[in-house]
Amino acid sequence: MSRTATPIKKPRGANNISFAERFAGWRVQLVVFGLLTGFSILVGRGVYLQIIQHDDLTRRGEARTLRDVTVPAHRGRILDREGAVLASSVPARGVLAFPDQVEIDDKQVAQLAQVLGQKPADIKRKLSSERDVVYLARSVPVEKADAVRAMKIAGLSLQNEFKREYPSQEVMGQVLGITNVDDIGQEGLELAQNDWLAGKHGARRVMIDRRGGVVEEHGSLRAPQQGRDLQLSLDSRVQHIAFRELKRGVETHRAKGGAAVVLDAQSGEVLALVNYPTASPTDRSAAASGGLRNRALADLFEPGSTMKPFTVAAAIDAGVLRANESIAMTGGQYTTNGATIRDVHTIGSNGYASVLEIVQKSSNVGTSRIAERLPNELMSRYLQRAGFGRAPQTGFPGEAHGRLRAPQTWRPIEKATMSYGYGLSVNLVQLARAYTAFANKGQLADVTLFKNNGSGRQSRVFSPETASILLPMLERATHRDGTAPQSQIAGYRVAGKTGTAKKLHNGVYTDGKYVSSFVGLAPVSNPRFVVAVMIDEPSTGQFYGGTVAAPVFSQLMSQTLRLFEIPFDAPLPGSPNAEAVVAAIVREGN
Amino acid sequence: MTRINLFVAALVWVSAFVVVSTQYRVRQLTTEINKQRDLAYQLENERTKATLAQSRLSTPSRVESTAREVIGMELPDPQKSLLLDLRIVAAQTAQTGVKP
Repeated sequence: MSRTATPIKKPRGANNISFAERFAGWRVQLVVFGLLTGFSILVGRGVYLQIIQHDDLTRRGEARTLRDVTVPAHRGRILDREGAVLASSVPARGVLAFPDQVEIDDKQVAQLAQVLGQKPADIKRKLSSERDVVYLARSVPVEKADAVRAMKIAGLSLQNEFKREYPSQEVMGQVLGITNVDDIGQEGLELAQNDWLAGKHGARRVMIDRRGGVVEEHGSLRAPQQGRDLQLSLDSRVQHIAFRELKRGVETHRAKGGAAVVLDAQSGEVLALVNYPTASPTDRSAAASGGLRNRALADLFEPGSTMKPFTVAAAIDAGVLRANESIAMTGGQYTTNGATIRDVHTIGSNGYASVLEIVQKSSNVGTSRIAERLPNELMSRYLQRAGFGRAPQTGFPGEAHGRLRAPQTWRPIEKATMSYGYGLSVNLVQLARAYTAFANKGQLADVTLFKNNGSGRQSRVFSPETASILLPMLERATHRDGTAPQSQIAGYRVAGKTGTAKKLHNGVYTDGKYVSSFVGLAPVSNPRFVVAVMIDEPSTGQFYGGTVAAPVFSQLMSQTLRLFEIPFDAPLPGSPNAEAVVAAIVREGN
Repeated sequence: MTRINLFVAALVWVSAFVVVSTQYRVRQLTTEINKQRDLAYQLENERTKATLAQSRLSTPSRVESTAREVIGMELPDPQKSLLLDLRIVAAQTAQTGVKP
């Protein structure tokens, strides 16, 4: 009998477990591998994003959330010598539109037009523009801009701006000039002093939300630098007086225009500088058409007889003329180079006139004969020292230099006519500056439009003795027997000289077209102010400087003297005693 | 060793907390500074407007036109004006005893 060994059967479950275990082990490994791979990818991605792409991603993130916001800086103010504001920038808004984003109905267009002071058709035309951004209005007052904001029109935006305001309007217009809508100087002192006045905008970084609201400050990038104030030498009160009197003079004589200058004789500071007609700096159309042109500095004219004192002073200073000398008047006419110079009135007696009479009565013949004694170069040198032929350098843009030809080219007739103010040209400020030499014992004061507290420079033109000889002659010119009795001022001694010059038209001196001028100084005992007045083409029949310009001078100078409380230096006409004053007060009271 | 590690870990945690809170505080203060700066700017603008309004109201031309139109004043006519030198009047007063 054989015994057959029965193979031991493994339980089914035992084989399955083994396979399952093996499968489980493999699966675990796969998962671990997967996890590790995934983790490695994440780590790699993390490294890539955090290290390799860090800067780029940071930049892109900041670009979406960080904004650099402009911190506006205002333009400096312009002040007069007493600190009164002549120009100042106030906040305003620009109204911007993004035409392709604007959602607006006709009613809103009408409302918007009303707020902005425009026609609805103009608003619609701007909104139909194909440009990305258009300005609906600039320099809009903040209150109106707030009204626009309250309308909540999609596609409209407001921009911070400044608007320049000029309280004195046309009185100062031609001196101050204007700025454009971006508050940048375009003309006058606004242009010349733009670097000084202009502020520099600052910037700060902020984090914004999806709607653009600031949610977090990231600090200042650049602090704003406010514009600096500019103090002028001008005095608003004198400027106003000058404007009023000049306007009256121009209108009385129905003239084409005029200009007036008031200088502090010692410091050379310009206290007033006016032109008429003029324009307001806020009137941009007038500015564009030349209405803001400062004629007192930019326009030239032949000074006429106001030049005579310089010819006489040069001759006395050079030693070729004695103050007490008599000059042969040769029958009231003087011929040279075939041309004859005449006087309007007979001057002197017995064919001779004193130097005093020549100045006082304004003799062309006498001045020409005196100039004859001066070598060309010497006369030219004196005129140059007096500032002729060179710009006044007040700091104003576009100053005219004036014309003074080279002495080598002067023919005798040209020298003769130059001696009484023809054949050379000046601007009014230049002429006023020259007269400071008579006010300052022969020293010419450098003129300036900026307050210098009396620290202005001076340069010698004549000796003090020459100036002291000329000053009484100029004073006599304002007396009853001079050419300008209407320049006199009650209570003050005045010195000055008239000028009446024919105007050149197409190279020919025209009858009926004159420039009437007067330049004077006061008080003679201690000159404080020099005033020059020029009236262009008076047309009422009167054209002499003594009747057209001298009265303007008188009014302007007298009010300036009283304003600055300058003590009287002449007896007051008909000045009553205390009893008469009491009687007058009693009469007035009754 | 464990204590040191725990101490260092605590130190790191505290430092991190201080850094974060300081940054938060700095941003708060920066925001506040900018608010105050904006306020100062607004006040400055208000002052500018007020000064400008004052200047506009006190220009000599406005003063003169107000004097003419509102108060009915007029510039003195030189022909009708009597100028007095107060020094002379004072001297005469002292002499005569008559006070004007």
